[in-house]
Amino acid sequence: MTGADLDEWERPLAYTAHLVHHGCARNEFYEFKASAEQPGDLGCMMENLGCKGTQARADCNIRPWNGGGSCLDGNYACINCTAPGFEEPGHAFAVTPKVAGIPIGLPTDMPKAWFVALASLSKAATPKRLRDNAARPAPVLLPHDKRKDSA
Amino acid sequence: MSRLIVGPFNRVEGDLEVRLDISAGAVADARVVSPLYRGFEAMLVGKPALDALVYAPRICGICSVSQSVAAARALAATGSVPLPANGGLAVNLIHAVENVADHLTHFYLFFMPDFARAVYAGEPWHAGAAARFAAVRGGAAQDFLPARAELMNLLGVLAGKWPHTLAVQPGGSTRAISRAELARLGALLAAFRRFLERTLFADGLEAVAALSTRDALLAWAERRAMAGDFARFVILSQATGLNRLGRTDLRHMSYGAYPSAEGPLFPRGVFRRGVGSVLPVDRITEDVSHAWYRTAPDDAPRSPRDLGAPPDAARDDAYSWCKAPRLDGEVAEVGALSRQLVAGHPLPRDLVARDGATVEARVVARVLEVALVAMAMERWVRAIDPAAPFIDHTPLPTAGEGAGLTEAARGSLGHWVDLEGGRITNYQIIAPTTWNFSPRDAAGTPGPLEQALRGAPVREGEAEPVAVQHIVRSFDPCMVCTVH
Repeated sequence: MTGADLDEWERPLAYTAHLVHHGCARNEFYEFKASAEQPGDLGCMMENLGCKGTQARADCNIRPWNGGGSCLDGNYACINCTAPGFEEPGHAFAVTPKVAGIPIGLPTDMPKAWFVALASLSKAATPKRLRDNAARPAPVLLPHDKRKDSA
Repeated sequence: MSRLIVGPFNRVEGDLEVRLDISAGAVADARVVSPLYRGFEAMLVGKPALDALVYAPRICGICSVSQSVAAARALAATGSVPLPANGGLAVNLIHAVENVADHLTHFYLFFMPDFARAVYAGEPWHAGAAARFAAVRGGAAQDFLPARAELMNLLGVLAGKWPHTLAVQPGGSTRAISRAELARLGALLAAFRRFLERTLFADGLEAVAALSTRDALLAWAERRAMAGDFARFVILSQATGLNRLGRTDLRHMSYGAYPSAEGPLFPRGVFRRGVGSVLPVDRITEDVSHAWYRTAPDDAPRSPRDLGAPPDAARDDAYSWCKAPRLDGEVAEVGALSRQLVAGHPLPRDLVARDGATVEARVVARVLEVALVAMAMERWVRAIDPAAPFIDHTPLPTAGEGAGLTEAARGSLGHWVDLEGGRITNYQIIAPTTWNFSPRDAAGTPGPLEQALRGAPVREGEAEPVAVQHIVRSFDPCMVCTVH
């Protein structure tokens, strides 16, 4: 391993070239801002439950723990534990700090105005399936093939 | 009289030093030194209540889930947070994976390699023991490590990862388990049972659990004819006299492990000299008369309900960062042996009735417990109802106090928490090795390891007496938890 394999904190780029968000199984909920409300809910944990997966640099959801599992798969938020200073976030770990209803920590490299605009657009477009499943521990609506309905 | 300082110890989690006075080829007196202070209790003061679930497990990368369970229970006890049946089962499973993995890691990677030491090179069994159990090179580690990784797949499903999962919450587990995942958990446990029955026991779990006396254990081991690593241990223990080594005659304590609506798998209680009794939890105190802390004005022992004694590194009458926990003023031993004595399993009770609590009894109880817990895990997976909730969302009160008592692999673990305004105002932890490796108390009474080391034989010229190694490791110490 040489200096070229390390990032600015001298962490291996093999880990930190990725975001925890990459490969997150809740991505569809994230896209439509369909949010979890309580620990254990299926939805995206960024809006309410303190998840920092869109900012945290690690490959946890690409290279799963021991071959299978991650914090997000365990239904709890990423606390960005690969980052220097993660231990003093300045807020309760499991609660997203917000200003005027908008999370303070935005996804990496995302301009705030675009985040707000896209979030409100995608919230308006959220499919019923995701809206109904997001705040539950198990899905109530599943993807369904309409071609089989007439049979 | 000569003085010998042994340490640091390899194959022990954390920092440990043992000071020995040696006379006539045996340990006359021992002082156990925990040389590292960390300060987790101080860090937790002022934090939001639920942040304890993030910080407390980071005390340790080995007993992390035990710390999570104790923290979650202490927080739940500040109010009245119900625990759904599935939540209890899922948390028991998560905790059991860690505990049996710890037991087996201790057996295969920490304890057994001592039989490969050069000091035993003249023994007829040495070549076989070294081929099987030598650190890194031995065949046993190559069998065990893949089995351990496969067992840990249960935690990928149930807890997202290990250590430092946040799946364990005051109201249960965040991770609901589907019917398909239950089938996978069952398959993983079947694979684990195969490893235990082929490699560790060379016999069925039920047959091992039914062993009830030392004579039956020895006969069972001889019938295996050195098939199975537990039988190998029993025969090596007989050859090296581990049933005469590291003896204590103390109260054994267990907080009780793996609760359910029908009661815990292993009950709470105290056991000494054949007699069980109720555990007076409110009579637990910590003495700092020989530790680098100061309790104004008179070093009186404190309840973990009170604020912890502040550190005082300048004390010259102290020799350890480990406090001295006492139960009703007396020394207590904790661990798998204590748990099984309190639970009343006939095999450890027979071992201790004959020889006292010894190195052999501690190791046998640990391995026996692997069989008992593995069978319970199979029952818990079958009892989960995937349609029912795994977590209750009743919020914690903003003010209150709670205790979370559980059993880590290596013994009784307690967290005591006070909340005000939704924040932690006091957090006290007493870990298993704090009990076992405690220094002397104000009455001068040594802790369990200090007592167990007295009389240990020291061979001519030994810098790391092998008897001391066996005795220290028989407690499966976790030093990072000891002084958290």
